[in-house]
Amino acid sequence: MNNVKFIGEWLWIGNLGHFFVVLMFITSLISTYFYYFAEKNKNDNYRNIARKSIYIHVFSVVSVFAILFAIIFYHRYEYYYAWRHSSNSLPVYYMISCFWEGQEGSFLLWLFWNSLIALVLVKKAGKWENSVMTIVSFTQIALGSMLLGLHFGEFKIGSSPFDLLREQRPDFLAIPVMESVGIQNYLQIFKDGNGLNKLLQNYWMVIHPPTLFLGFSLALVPFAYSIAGIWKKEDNSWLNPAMIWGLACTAILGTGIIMGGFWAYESLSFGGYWAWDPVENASLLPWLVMISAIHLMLISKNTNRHYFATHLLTQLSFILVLYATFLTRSGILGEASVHSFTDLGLSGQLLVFLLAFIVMISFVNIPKVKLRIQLSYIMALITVIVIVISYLLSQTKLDIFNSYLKWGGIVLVLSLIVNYIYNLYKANKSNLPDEALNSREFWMFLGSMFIILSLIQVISATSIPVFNKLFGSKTAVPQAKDYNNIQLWMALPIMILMAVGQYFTYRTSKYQSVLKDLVISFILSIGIGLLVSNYLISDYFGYKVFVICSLWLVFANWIYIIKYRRKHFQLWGASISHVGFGILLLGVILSSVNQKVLSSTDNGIALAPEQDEKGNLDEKGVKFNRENVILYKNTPLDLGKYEAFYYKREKGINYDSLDEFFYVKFIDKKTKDTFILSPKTQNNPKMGLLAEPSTKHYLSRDIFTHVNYESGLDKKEPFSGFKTEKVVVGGKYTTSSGKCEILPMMLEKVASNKGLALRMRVLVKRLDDTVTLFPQILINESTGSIESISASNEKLGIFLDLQSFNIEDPDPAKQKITFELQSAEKNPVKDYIVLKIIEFPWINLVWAGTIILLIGFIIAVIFRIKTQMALGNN
Amino acid sequence: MKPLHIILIILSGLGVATVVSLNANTSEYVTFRDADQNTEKLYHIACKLNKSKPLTYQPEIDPNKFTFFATDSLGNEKMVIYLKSKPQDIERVEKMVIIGKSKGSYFLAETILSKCPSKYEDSPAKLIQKTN
Repeated sequence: MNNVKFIGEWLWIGNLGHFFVVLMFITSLISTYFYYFAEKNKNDNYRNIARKSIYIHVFSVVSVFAILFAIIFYHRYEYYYAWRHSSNSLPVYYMISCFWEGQEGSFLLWLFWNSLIALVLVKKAGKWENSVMTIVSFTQIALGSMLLGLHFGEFKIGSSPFDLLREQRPDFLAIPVMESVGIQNYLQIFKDGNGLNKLLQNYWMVIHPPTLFLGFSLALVPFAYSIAGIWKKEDNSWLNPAMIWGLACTAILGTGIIMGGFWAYESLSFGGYWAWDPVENASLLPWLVMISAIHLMLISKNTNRHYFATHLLTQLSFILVLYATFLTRSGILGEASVHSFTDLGLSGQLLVFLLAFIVMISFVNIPKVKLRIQLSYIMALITVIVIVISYLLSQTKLDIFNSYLKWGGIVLVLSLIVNYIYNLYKANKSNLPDEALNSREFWMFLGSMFIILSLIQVISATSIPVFNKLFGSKTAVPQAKDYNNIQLWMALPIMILMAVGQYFTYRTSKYQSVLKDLVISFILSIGIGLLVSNYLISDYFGYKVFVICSLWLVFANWIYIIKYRRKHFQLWGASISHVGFGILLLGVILSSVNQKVLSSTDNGIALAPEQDEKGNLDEKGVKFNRENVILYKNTPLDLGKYEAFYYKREKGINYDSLDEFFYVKFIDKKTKDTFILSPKTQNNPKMGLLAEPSTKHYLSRDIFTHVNYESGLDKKEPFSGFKTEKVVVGGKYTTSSGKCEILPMMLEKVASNKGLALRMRVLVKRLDDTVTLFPQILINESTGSIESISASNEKLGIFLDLQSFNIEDPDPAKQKITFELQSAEKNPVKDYIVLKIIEFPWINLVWAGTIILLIGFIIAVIFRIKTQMALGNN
Repeated sequence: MKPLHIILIILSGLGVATVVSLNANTSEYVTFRDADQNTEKLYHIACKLNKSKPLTYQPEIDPNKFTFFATDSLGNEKMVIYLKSKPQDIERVEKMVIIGKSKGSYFLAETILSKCPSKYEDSPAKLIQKTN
């Protein structure tokens, strides 16, 4: 195929893109090298080279980004990425979403955020620039390699976003139509792309993924500072800048996660904002650890303790970002997740990516340089031996070898981790006397450890598909309720410690004053907590305790601000975040425990009940899950609290739109308050029925509806009972079953360029329903043949076809024309929807809590930046 | 021993307990025959949708009942009743995991986890139809 000259391709733009990808990769190598030696040899010239290289790197990343956007914008479908992820009808603001539908685009986005962060670090990091930027550049090498798209036989390094469609999918050139247009003109056939997943065509999806990726990028900086702190053998001074970046990371990653939840709630039909899906959990893992790490940084900074745990968690947070990437992008989650990510065959490389960082942190912590070098030689030697052996072995032996290799790998990784933890612990062993039980650091440390406990549950449950793959087990993936049952109890100690912690001062405090301060908030929360738990539908003891604890968290921190921080606004950050977190958790518990399926009725037929030993009928198995109601058009339905009335169905605005809106009016039977919801469906040819919910937001509750099925999806039943009759205008006829009355009203001429076209206005009556149909007949002037165009109506189940006509009296004054009209019938199709209606009480607390949490983080970040500036750039 | 150490040991114990309880609470993927042994227990069954047999959803009779036939990893077939509306795009699903209880003659599914083979890509033939 090499000799074919393809017409209409813009190859130059892809070549330019490739060039910048390679440039980006090489400059990240150069800057890593020079930053490393600039730090090691304290050489300013090296630093200047590294800086220049980083500037070119950033320029290349931005160029690659711009070129890929241009390819999508100009619909250059010769590029696989554009064909796969976009289409002609895609609006510009969704084109940006194409970047995160594909893996290459996501890595590019990550590189982009890292580049911007790198620019800030070059300007602001001061004495930390060389060491921190070594780590950042190293990360850019790893990320950049994901876009290289180099092929060595079966081996593949990275996947380029500039691959051509005809190279990626050679099967497309082999399709039959190609012969008629000629293979060189294949672009004339691929005039439109595959398109962006419809679910991503939502404004939340434009901003949610970039926010999440910015959070991921920000997690790199505290990691880099922590490594740099060990490298430079500095105890304390890395903490302040690391904390600023860490706080920014928690704020932005947290926003990204909750945006995803809000998107799911507003536009997906699973009915909720959090489902403990592995992909959601993956983004939660680094966040939990980063929160924990920030608190430990505070302890280390103020009391010079726990450096080991601070380093460990700060580094773990970024390792978990990589682990999350591996989980979501390697395809290992498979059926465990509803999210679908295409596997680009990069899972091996992603694993190498993750392991490279584990090896790195393990080696950095080896105190003796000599040992470090010897170990690297041994590792390199093992790698070479493994590669050579795997080339030499036959296929059957290779499989056995690989299974040994897997175990060897597991042992190696585990020993690296143990070695890492051991060395880190040894290097940061403190000689300080024990902290007092009445110190803030003690309680804060305890709180952080409880967060880690909660993390252990999430990470082990989420990693089950990984364990299954490694050990060949078949453990099923846990469901949301498995997480909820455990996390409910995990949250209790965390909330209590968040309420209590601030009242202690560092080093030592008076128990009496702490207790005195906590009395008011404790009494308040017990009192209000009991009132609120009365309102809970469930009597479960755990929920009541949860409500009381979350209220205590809110009141205790609020009172703390009033009592101790009234005049120091810049110090409000921590307390405000705590208050926000308390409100968020209160909202979570209220909206999920009191969530009510309003559409839950017993209108379905019962399943065959089972008999117990005594012969009593037992219907236990069939009482759950009756969650949908059927609403017939124009027929009100009593739902208990509300009356629902489905009255209108409307097509989307565009003529080719597949969207359909269903208007349902709700009447509150008590207050007579009414509102209209219009849930949407799209019968997507690629993805089936896509339902978009419609929600009525009140301050204290949401009414959430979505359509699970509608009559338009029913299989069309064929017409039967055909009957042909001679009819005249003004006559009255019945169909074969006698159920429909047919009244031909008048004959009309229709404009046609083919010949004489007539249509008959026919009124059809069935019970109380009436429709007007227009069957047509055409006498083709050129051929002389008679063609008829039938008319039908599904609602009445009637079909009419004018077959021929006969002018019985040629006198035009009388115009007696008889027609042969064929009629047929079927059961009338009723217009209905199957609707699910859920009431979420106090869900606004979830969103309000999140916003307050964020405000707290922002205040804290501003305060830390100010302190850092006051300290000078060191 | 320092109090902090005692607490850390307790916490590690709790951590191990969570992981162990996780293992105890989650089931393995089993077959229909395994599920028939205990009709009270919730099982996860990895199976395939039998497309040659009818998928029945008649909302006018019951909007909360969807019936189909599934084949487990051993090739045994069983009728599955799902007491919710018909899941989106189920016709195209190849593999799925159903979670529920065996009721003797049928399997009562509470949850269906499904994933399409390639969720959002046209076949070349369809693509040609679309462009022409």
